[in-house]
Amino acid sequence: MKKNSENLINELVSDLKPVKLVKFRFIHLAKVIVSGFLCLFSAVAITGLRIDIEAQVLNAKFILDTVLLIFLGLLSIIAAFVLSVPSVKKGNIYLLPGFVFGLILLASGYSFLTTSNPLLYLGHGFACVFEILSISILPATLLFYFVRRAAVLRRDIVGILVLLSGLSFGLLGAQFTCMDSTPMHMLLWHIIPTGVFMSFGIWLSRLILKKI
Amino acid sequence: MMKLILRPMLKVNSLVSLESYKPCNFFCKITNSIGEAGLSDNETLFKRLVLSAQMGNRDAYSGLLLELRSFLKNYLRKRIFDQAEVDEVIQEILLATHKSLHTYDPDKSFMGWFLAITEYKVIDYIRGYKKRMTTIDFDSISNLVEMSNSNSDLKIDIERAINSLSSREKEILTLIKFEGQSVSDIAKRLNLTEANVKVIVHRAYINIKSYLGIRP
Repeated sequence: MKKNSENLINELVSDLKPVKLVKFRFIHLAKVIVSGFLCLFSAVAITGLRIDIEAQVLNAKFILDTVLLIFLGLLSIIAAFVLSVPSVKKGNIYLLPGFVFGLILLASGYSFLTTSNPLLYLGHGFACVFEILSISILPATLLFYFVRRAAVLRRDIVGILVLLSGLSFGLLGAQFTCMDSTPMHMLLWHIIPTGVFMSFGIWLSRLILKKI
Repeated sequence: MMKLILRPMLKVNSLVSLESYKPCNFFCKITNSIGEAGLSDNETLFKRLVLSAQMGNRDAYSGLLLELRSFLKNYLRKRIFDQAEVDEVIQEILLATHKSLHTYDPDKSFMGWFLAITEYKVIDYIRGYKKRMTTIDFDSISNLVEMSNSNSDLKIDIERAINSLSSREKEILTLIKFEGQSVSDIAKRLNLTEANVKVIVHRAYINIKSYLGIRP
């Protein structure tokens, strides 16, 4: 029994090379945020701002949604960075973006339930799903690139957080371009697809992140 | 000869050979009572060792790994049910530590970083263990016994394999396979938990297979 771990120690020692420390700083966070906003502005430039934007910026729900989405993006990026380095102290940080996403989901669900005949507004919103997805690709890829260099213990959670951070930029973009603010549309074509894509993070993390 | 930096009681730069190394008693005494607060006394030493290791100092790294191994032996004693698997978990943890060495930030607690890796690996092990326990192939032993009825050489080998088991393993295996008693009955009879009985049967099964040269 003793011999095995002794052999392993000898192997690890002979394998040792000077390491380049991975330390996440504000610059990494800034890079992801800038890439997210760059994609968001590009999408807005291509599709154009929604016509009723002037009225919406005075709408409390619109402002609250926007603030929550910005928080969601920021918290997801920070949580992904924090969880990519082993530490006993901040293990539950992923609950914060989860809580914010839960709030958005609840608000959306509440609006849906309190709307009379919500199915009347079913419509279709593939363009919204496409926009959310295309905005999210660059920031999520960049964040995956950064966390891959670290040592991710909880790959599934980090994978979800990485996609959630990118998708929150996508949701923010859709907020400014999509004209349809009905609860049915928001739930069916914005929130639910985000939840579905977010779950792909589990699979992607196993594909991209190294197992420690 | 490979030199090592060892023993927190000694100066960090004092070197002793690998052959003369014994896990330090000082550290073990602290960790026996899992005085994790006491671990902070060793933070400085661990930090020095890990910093040297990050710069490529193999002696320091070897000392660090040996100290961590002796710490883990005590630490895991209370957390790993099957003591036979402790060394395997220790190896997993040391390997994960090696892979994560570049993420240790010298401005932060070493034990905070190391225990995060340890806890993760212990949870990983427990999950795998539960899975293994729920998939114990009790029938495989029966199949071997049945096969041995038509093959006298195999029968002799199996008898020898069973004789090589510990008395407790032999007793439980006999009750479960030859007397057909259920796990819960055996657990009650021997004053053990059902999980414990399953563990013993699982271990006996692995021992028989390894005796027969079959990959467990």
